[in-house]
Amino acid sequence: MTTSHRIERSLSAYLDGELPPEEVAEVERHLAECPSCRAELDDLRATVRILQLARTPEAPDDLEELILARAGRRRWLTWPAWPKPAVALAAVALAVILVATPLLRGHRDRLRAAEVSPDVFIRAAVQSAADDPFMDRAYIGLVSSDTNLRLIGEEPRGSGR
Amino acid sequence: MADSRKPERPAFTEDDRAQFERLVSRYSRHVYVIAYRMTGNEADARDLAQEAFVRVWRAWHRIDPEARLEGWLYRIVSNLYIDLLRRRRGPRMHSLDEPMATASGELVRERLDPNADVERTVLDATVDRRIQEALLGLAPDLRMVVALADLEGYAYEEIAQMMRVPIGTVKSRLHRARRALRDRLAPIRASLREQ
Repeated sequence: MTTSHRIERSLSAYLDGELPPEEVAEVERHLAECPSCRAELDDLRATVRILQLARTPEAPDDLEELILARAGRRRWLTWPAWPKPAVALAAVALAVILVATPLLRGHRDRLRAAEVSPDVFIRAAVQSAADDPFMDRAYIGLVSSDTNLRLIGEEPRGSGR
Repeated sequence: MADSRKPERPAFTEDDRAQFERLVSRYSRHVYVIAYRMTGNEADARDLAQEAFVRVWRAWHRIDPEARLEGWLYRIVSNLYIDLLRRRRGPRMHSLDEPMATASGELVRERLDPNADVERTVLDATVDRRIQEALLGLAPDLRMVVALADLEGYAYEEIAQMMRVPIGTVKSRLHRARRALRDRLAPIRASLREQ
């Protein structure tokens, strides 16, 4: 790194009075003979002056209230508000529900399938028999009465009462 | 029964609450200002300032409310800002030279006329906006250093402590930030030179 480069990187600190005295002397010696570093220093000084023109943004009037309200609200949502045994119990209950639900549901579905399948079989048999013009409708009615079905085009049973 | 509901961490007392209120009253405006410098808009600055104090309240039993907490608060703001950028998927940085995309097409940024009346220029609120825009064009770590040094007036040593970086890092970040800002603020500078 050339001297000029090294000095150039110290110019901001020089401008801010943040350099140790021995470095200040070195920078000043260099500035006396380096027009490009003098120009750089002027640029930096001007940039800082412009930045200092920025007005301080005004905080909203209700900022403190907003902060206190939000911090107060969070207080009840943080862990200390909820006793640990209750949290543990809730977690165990949730785990039990998550494991048991599919098991129970599978069992219930199997029971329902066993109940429904004869029904479906009889429905198919009755529907194919009903298409036969020589089939005795009384026989069909007898078969279907067990399955709680009604024949296509027939009034629902019991509606004539 | 009462014992089983007792939280493990110490409960907040009225005294805690009063101390927290004093702390909010002492620092909230500074925190808001630095949050505004980082985000460039009121809504985000307000949100960040609130969230920073929520973090303080959560950590209440681990801090000394009488200690100087600026550095810690500014670090929280800086971290929250970085989280905000992540949530929004990448920083929204705009080059001042490129046209801005808007709903009604591209908008070329208006630049200050170097020959404009200096007093008017200085008084003009657009100066503020331009400075803030130039700040937003910097990487967050450079922006924080320049905001603390040149806008809030902290010394290098204080900034180093606040940001937990070596003093040499403060020095080099500040220098890089000023060099980047130099070109972006050139139009305003040209007006001042004529003063």
